[in-house]
Amino acid sequence: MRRGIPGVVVRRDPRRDLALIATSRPLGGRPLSIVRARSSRAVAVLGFPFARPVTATRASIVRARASLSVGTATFAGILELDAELGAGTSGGPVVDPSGAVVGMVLAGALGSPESYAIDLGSVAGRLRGWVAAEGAAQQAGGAPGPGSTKTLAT
Amino acid sequence: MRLRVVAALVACGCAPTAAIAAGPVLDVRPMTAELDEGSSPVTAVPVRAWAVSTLARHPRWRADVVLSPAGGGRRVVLPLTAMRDVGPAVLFAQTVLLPGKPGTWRARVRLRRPGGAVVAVQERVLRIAPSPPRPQPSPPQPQPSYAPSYGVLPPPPSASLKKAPPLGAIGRRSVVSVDWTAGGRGAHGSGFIVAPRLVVTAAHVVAGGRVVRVRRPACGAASPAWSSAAILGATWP
Repeated sequence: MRRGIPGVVVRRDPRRDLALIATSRPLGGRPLSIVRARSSRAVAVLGFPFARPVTATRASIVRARASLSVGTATFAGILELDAELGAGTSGGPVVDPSGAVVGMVLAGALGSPESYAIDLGSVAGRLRGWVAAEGAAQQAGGAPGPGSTKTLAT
Repeated sequence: MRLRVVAALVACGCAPTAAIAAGPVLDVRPMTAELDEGSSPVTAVPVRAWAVSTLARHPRWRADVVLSPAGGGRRVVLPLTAMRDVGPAVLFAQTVLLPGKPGTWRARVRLRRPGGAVVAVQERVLRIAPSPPRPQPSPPQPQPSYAPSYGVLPPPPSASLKKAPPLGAIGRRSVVSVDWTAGGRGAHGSGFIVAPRLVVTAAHVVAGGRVVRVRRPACGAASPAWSSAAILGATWP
């Protein structure tokens, strides 16, 4: 594991549990595409549970749900998966067999093969806008400064 | 496939501030998949709910698990976290990943106050059975035929028939870990790259933190900068 690159949270959408991080220099990776999920489709969940090496868990999309209430928070546009995920997988991509992202890990039920992801296909337009705006700002040489995080009203 | 831990609870010492229930056994099973070819498999051990519920009640407390080989050797310390920001109703499955070596391990779960004092300890002995042999790759499947017929034409090849990119490659190239610490608080999560300098992650991972650290798995040299506009046009729907 590399030592890491500093980054700043530049966008947040609490209702969709989405955040966008701008890093201080290129990550040197390969950007993933985002597509709309198909129901009952095999997927894989990638992430770093407990800061261990990157791990993949195979799963299936059980159903799409309009919302999920967790404590006092309610999230919209949910994919229910049949996988048990470790802590630290939050934010990891749910990829379909073509390697495209269909969701982002939100939460898992304690001790059972049941987990939830944000359906990114339904917010692809918003993400595209975020990436275009922040990418343009980065190309213009503007580094995000303290207090510049934009949060969407819910 | 589920493997049963033969040995059970060994001891429990705790301070009056935290009542700790001792579970008799733990189920140990291999992870469903590992990414890095040739790497050691890991074993997922679900930690009992007491650690999660205690952390939910005491948000400033910290917990970790110390894993030691019974026969001596290097110990591993893993942090435990709970998804506190969205309440205790649904929490991440608290899972400890052990190295894949079969054998006997001692696992100590420690709860700490903010100042660092250990307020509760629970010990278990885990006996991990050898991992089952990896399945042999199946012979190549025949490709779908598109020979003309007098009936209905066969369906076009679907995405699932395309050669899927290896998960290991996706993980190494596009998935990152996200960490932040500030004022004694912090969190660990995952994310993925959507542009050369942009990462999408969960808002609850970075709740309370604005400056974070992003890490990729170790791999080749950093790529040159891409054009975000080109990436958007090429890959986004």
